[in-house]
Amino acid sequence: MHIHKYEKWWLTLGVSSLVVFLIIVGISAFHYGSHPPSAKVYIDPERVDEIAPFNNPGVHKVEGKDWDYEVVFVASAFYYNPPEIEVPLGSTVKFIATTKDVVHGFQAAGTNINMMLEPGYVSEYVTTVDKAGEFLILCNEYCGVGHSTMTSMLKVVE
Amino acid sequence: MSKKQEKEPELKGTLYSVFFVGAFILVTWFMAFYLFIDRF
Amino acid sequence: MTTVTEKAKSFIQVDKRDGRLALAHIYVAFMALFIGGLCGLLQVLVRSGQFTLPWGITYYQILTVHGVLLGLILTTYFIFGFQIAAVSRTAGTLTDKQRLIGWIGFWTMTAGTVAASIMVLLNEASVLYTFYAPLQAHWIFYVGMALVVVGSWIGGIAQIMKYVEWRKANPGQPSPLITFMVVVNLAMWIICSLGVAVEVVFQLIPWSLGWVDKIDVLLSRTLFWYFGHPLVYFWLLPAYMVWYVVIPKIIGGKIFSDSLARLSFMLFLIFSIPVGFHHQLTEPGIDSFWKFLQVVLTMMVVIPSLLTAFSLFASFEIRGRELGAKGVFGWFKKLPWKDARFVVPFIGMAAFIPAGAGGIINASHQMNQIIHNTIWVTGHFHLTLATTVVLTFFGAAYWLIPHLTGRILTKQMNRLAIIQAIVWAIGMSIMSGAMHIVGLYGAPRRSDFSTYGGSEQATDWIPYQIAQAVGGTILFIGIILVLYIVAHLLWFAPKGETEFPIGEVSEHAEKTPMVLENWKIWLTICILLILFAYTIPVIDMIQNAPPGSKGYKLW
Repeated sequence: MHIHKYEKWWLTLGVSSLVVFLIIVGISAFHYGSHPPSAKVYIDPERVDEIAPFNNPGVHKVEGKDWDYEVVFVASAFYYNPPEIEVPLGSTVKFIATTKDVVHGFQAAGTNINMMLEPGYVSEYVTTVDKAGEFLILCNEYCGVGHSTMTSMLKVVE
Repeated sequence: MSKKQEKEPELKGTLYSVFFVGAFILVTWFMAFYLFIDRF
Repeated sequence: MTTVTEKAKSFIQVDKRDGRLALAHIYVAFMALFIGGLCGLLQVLVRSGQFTLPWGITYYQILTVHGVLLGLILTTYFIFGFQIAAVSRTAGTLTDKQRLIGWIGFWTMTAGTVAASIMVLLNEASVLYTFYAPLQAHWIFYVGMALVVVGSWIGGIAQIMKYVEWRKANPGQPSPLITFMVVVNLAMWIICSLGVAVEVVFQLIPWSLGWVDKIDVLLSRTLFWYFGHPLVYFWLLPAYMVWYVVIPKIIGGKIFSDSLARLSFMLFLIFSIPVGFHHQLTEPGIDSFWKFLQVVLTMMVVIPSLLTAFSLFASFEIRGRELGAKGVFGWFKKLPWKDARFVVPFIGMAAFIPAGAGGIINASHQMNQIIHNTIWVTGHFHLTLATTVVLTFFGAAYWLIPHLTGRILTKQMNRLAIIQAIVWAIGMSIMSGAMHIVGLYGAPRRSDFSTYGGSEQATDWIPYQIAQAVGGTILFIGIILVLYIVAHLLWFAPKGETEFPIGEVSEHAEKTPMVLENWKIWLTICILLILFAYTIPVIDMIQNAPPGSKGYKLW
């Protein structure tokens, strides 16, 4: 099959660009640990409130881990517990969340914190909060009539 | 009647057009990447 | 110069009986466009904060109608109408048996559509077109969806039977290009819709009937997105059929390369399906390794589109230079800018540049976290589906409908068609542009109007929602315009003969290697890639499944 020389140049540029993209995101993920949220932690969705750490939602200082704080959220239709959290600027935070009923989203607007909460699964994400401010946490997966009223607030304070 | 040695068609415009598409893809991707790196 | 007899011989008219089958599909498609489009208008008005829905209708009901009618019904029906006509035009009139099967498929799909729609209108299925568990719709909704899928298999088989018949009658020959492309699209459709069929028939229906108590949510989502990504290629490939085969004839040129066109379609067949995880990148329960693997495969499915871009520009440039164009870009001016059959799909092609760029960003593994479930995603697919594909379909309708109804596209309608496409482009630039920007700020998709507790960030989103309302209103005007043109072409346009344009391959092109039509090889690769990308993570998901979920009706 004959391919025009310019088409070969184009395919070379195109495929190389895609390879560059894959190398960048691949190294970020597998070398620097910047994976999309992919926790494999399981829970009985009907007993969430009784099972640690969800029996104690909120901000918890921890020692001896790669992160400084664990922030535990329980989502349900149409509410996040806790409705507001505060963490110090510059700290490394692990978000741990699950849902008691249907699939909910969990996104802190204007940040990369964005994960799906699915019944039976615990979602986790670690990040260093290096900007001060108030970040709206909202549900971005349709969950019923109250979907657009589900909010919490992430406050990163000096 | 086709010649034995066909000259390749003149496709400079095509080359520049697809390179524009490629540049668009590269620029927008790196803008998004920068946003991702900048945010926590 | 063609003589009168040559011209008469070269005008091929789709058989009236096949035309009736094709038109039936096109009627349903445009009815769906009207109702779905009306819902879209209501949605943007609600989300501007200045309008509430009457009669107790909810936003999510409207949104479900919008997604189902536009994303599933308009598309599938237009595609089938187009494909039936294209196969009949190039591979030969359907036999009575093939046509009967086509009608059975049509009525099965339509029964399913009506059943599902009634459930949505009764507020029994406000679950959006993705119907994610454990939100649970009425079982009739799921049965309706199953009938749409099964009906599409039946209708698809009629088209495939014609292809098989052609191949038996013409051994060793490459099949007519557009028929070949139709069959690739159908193969991809059947293989991928098996996934959603399994989800609906074996999970959702028994669960919604109360035969089983619980459902495995992650598995149901995985089956859906195994289907959901190739679904968008099922929409895109018919647009590519118009671009590769029809547009060259319209501009008076030739098909740049038959081989590269077939290669690009076979690449779509193998790479469109094993990539569903890029819709599930932020979900728990799936290893990052398998997500990344499917991200790699997703980047590979970009390649046939890169091939297509080159082919299209090349066919434009070659034709332009043939007409005497000089310089690097002189050929651009030589394109038929007064012909709606070219201009309207061309705007669709142009939209695919930002559309595709956005798609690559979306699929870039952890970068997905910037935009997942934000309204950027909605902006993205209003470019890909609602501009690239839909404008190409409109552009095709302007010759397909009069060809089938024995009428012509008048000069006025041609001009109106171009105006319609410009109106569409303006409305979409405003609406999709606003969606892309505010999505980066975190504004969510699939959400009723809300001030989010008075949050400052959410307040900043509202002007963009007003812009979406402006854009959406302009788009609705565009819908009225296209429906006006279509009604004219169906019932009121002057009688006459309209060509069904089918391009010819350039005489300088080489013979197409038959390996490109070797189904055994390509289907084997397709299946192997699916097994490679999905087997281990799906087994993992089933073996480690937590307790399942009961159903919820939260609307």
